[in-house]
Amino acid sequence: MASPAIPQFNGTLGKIYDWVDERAGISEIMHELLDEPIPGGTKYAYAFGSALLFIFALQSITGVFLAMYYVPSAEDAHKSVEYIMKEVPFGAFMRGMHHYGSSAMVIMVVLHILQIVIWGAYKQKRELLWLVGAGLFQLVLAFSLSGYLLPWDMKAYYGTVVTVGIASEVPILGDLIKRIIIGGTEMGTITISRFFMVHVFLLPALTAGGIAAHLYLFRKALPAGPFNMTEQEAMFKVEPFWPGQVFKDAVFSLVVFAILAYMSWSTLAPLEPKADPSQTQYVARPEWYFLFLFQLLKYFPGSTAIIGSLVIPGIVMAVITFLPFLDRNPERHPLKRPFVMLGTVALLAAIGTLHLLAKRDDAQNFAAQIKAQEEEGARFLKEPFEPKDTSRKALVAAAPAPEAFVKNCAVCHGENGEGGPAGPKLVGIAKKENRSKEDIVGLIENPSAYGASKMPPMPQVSATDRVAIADWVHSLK
Amino acid sequence: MSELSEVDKTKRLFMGLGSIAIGAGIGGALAYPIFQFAVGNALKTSEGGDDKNWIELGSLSEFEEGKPTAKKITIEIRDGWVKSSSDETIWVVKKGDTFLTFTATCPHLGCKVNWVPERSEYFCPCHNSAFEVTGERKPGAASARGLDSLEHRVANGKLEVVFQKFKNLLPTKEVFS
Repeated sequence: MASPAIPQFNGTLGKIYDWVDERAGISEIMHELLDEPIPGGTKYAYAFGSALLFIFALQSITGVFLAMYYVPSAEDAHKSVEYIMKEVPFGAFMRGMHHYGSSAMVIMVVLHILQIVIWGAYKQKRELLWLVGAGLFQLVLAFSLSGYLLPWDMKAYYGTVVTVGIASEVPILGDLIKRIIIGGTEMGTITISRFFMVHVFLLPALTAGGIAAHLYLFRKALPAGPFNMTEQEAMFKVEPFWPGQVFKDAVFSLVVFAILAYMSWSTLAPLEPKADPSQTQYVARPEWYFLFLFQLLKYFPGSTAIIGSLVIPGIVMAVITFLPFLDRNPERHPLKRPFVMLGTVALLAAIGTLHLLAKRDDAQNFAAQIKAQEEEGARFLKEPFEPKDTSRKALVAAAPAPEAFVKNCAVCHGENGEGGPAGPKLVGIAKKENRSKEDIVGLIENPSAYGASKMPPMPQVSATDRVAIADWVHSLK
Repeated sequence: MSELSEVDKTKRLFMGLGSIAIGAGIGGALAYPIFQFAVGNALKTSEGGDDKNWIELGSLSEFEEGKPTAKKITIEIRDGWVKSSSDETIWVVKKGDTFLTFTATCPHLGCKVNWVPERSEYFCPCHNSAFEVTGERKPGAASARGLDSLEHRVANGKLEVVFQKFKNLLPTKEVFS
């Protein structure tokens, strides 16, 4: 089996190699894996699939290690992610790789599909290959949805509330589906645990199986080659997978890796304060690649909502899934397939337009709140890490709030300073900058002088009461 | 594979070695952060400085002359992202005006020792290490040293100790923190 992919060794090394090879069949595997002929030669355009596999491997590795610290419970999920971000060496980097990697995965899967569509590479007995690919595409989206909840911060919570709400629009079975997804009627530990199991065990197993089937069917069908050559021309210019295509795949994967590593180093993956179901001002938005779907919902009010949330996306997904059965013309040149190409362009344009409309709507109506949320998230990430205190010392009840607090402050800040619809939480305020006891005494009288311009001044509170309030607020931990 | 296009050998070698180099480079670039991440804070020595944390064991009158008494104490521990409380047992023996205080952890492999009055010894059920009432190891004990004594003092009529953990196996006591 003379093959350029099979290593040739001389002397002792050659003898060792032969000994192992006779028993393990390395040469045969190498030949099978690496000598695959690529009609028309190797190209960077074929690197998207390999890059997807590469990112999936990265996600698997970073995900496995993140699971060393992450705890899937409503009680601990958020704190454990905060611990990863702030206390574990390279924790922010590892979570960054996983966070940005999920975006890279979605981008790459779209590029991969586009390349196959433009090249007409789903034709000529490649229906099964495409079907398995469509299944993998949906698994990628399921990964994204299930992973979004796990940090249990504000956006995770509200994003999932909306997703689950959409699932409940399914006629007749909606309520049942919602209950099964949540694990009851309350989103909490059981929900996180379910999403964790799906994200970490179920989806990876299905994806691994899908990838194996996809690669097998791909090898069986052989690469389609260029769309502008006849099969004879393409076979005349054939090149093996190794080393030409492997090198191009590696270079492309290296670029992807470099971008992800740079982003993970330079920009912290977002983490907002812990999920708070009482927060009424929070503007929930999905991850950027689902923003167009979110926008689509706005055009179908009331009982028609299901059209935007399930019917249209369902039809589009069905058309994508069954494309090889719908487009049976053997012609592969994109310019000679106006229907599919225009459809693809129209779909991309629609997605892009919806995305921009969503952005414009937010800029017009929610700019201040969204900016405030981003700032709150950034501030939270900068705060020093404070461990969750379950020691017996901490269980000793805190002193009751002074009467002046109950009368003047509790309406907005909550009876125990836990925060409310109109005022931020005061628990832990002693740790914040510019919030010493003296600052708080001053702030109550003149909030805007201390950067709290949303709060009304409280001149009616006496100086003694202000000191009592500041003392008590500082004791909240 | 016979009709392989004729590719320059040097170019093929470059692409082959290049692919391997890129793979190794990415692997190497990932290996370091992953290793550090996995080790985590395991090698961090606990903070707290030189301040001794005195924990009360009880009034002096609670202890009988020469008879080991088990006292439960509560210590504060930092467990990853959680600060929590954990209980430990301290053996206290009164000897005239002085006291002996031992941790109940066997210095051999870390099981807990109990006082066996019939044999007048602390006994570890894991590998049959036995210790005198004064904490010295009895001949034949699996442990290489006697029970680990804790620093103690009398303040305001109460006996207090500083709780510490010590390394296993060694013939001499060394703090594990």
